[in-house]
Amino acid sequence: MDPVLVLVVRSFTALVLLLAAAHKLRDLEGFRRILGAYRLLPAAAEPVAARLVPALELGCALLLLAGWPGGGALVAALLALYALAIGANLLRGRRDLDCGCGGPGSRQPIAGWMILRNAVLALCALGTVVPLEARGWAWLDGVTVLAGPLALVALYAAVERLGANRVVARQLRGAP
Amino acid sequence: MNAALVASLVLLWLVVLVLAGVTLALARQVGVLFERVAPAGALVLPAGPAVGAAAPVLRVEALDGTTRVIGESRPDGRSTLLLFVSPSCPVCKELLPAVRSMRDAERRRVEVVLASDGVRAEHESFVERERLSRIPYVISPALGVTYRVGKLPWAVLIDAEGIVRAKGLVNTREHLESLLEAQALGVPSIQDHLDALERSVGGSAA
Repeated sequence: MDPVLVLVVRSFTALVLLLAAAHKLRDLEGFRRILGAYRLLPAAAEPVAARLVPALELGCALLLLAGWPGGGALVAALLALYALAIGANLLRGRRDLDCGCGGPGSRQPIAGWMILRNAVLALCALGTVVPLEARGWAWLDGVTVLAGPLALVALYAAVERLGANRVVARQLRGAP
Repeated sequence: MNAALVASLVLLWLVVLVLAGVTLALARQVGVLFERVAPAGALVLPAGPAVGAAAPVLRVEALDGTTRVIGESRPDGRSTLLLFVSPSCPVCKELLPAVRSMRDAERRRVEVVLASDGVRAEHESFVERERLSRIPYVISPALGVTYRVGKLPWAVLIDAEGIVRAKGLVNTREHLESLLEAQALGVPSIQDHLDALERSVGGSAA
């Protein structure tokens, strides 16, 4: 595959992880509460897990940026873990649970489409294991590598935000 | 050729970046709007038949000479939106486009009936001027007195069973629609709905 495409997708995934780690680190206490609400871990493990998760995200993002081949698999595993946590709670019928995806300010309940979103992100991360085509670099590749991930991250954030908006709109209209 | 491709790609990337940023900003603004600008409902005053009570059944004369009965149960299953207007009320005139479009859009759910009292000739020229001939128009002083209409334009929504479902002072299209929305949600008014919503959100946060 073309190395520029792989690099763009990989950097995009790394940026998403960096942002996720950043908003968790900014409000560790809030993230511990969200984690507790998922009701998957024993209470004693929560404070440790609340620190471990953003650290993992940060580490994975850096590995991914550095281009370490195992980084992609690690990120995919982390995202699959999140999808499992969401899926388990959806199966329990808990649709009012705060996802914790959008940072401290946004209250967004978990939903089925988030599992799909995680699958897409995991696929992006697994782009690191695809064999690269050898070709020379042009300066235009630099533009693509800089602008591509930024545009993708902005679009990703917009999609997240629209998902959160839909919840607020549904509440205003009186649906449960 | 190559230079042209490069130039157009750089330009396209710039445009994509700006557009992605704009999309994000718009999505955030929509979110802020949803949270800050709650809908405004019609102003409900306590006088007249209460919401949830049976509407008084009144026989009234329409402008076209027919007789209509307001407040009895309707076999066609539609609600009646009784809108009290007057040819001399400027706000009523501004509301009329909304009334016309609502009459068409909600035709299967609601029949809009305009109600007024006073000199017949004034109403006839009002109907002609504002092109209201397709909307039933009744003239009855008793109707306004029964519903204790003090301010215009005043609307009362009566369901197919003859029960008052919503009422209030309707100054804008949003107020008018809030009556139908209140009926659909099964609440006396949109304000009640928002209050209940706030209580439930506040309750779960506490």
